[in-house]
Amino acid sequence: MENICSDNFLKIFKTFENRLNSFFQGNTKILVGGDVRSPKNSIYYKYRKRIVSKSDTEIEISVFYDKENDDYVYYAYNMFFNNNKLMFHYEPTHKEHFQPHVNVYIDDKELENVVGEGFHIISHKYHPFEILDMTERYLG
Amino acid sequence: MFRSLIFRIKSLFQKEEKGVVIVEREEFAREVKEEFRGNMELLKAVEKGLNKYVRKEKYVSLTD
Repeated sequence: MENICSDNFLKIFKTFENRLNSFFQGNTKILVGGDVRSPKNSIYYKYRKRIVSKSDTEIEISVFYDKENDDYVYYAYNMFFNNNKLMFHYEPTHKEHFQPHVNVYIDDKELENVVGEGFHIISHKYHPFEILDMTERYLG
Repeated sequence: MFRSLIFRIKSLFQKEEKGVVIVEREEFAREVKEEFRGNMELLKAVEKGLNKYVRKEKYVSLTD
């Protein structure tokens, strides 16, 4: 699987969207966002979208990309199942989120260990297509 | 160094592509500030990046 970089950012997200829409049988509704936003003379891209399928499954995508360093500044893919949520997250500037991981929320509350820290399930799966595979596996 | 030079040259030819909206840096800064309110580490990093290749008088602030 090719790595995401500034040269294929748009292509990857276009394909990601097509697959997501086709998974939701072309019947998704955009609640928020849509286009990639890029400021003039800048090293960034930003992309935000919240969609809902006809079966009322919501997915929230928030991606912030550094074109110069070909790395994310932030990403979060939230999949909502009623009051439960799977969150794929990466935020290298934050010391606790410096590597891709998954957070799990049940009944709106994050799963925590005995000392009250949120679980970070460390995962190498951070490419949009891998997250899509996971979406298909969970919701398919 | 070389990478950053290439990046700067490419930036000069930045054009609107399908599905991409080119926004003013000030507008982008406002959006980021709103979206990541309270996340100081991220805001500081983005502020640095946004001001990287612009003259000082064009700097935008995300942390004031």
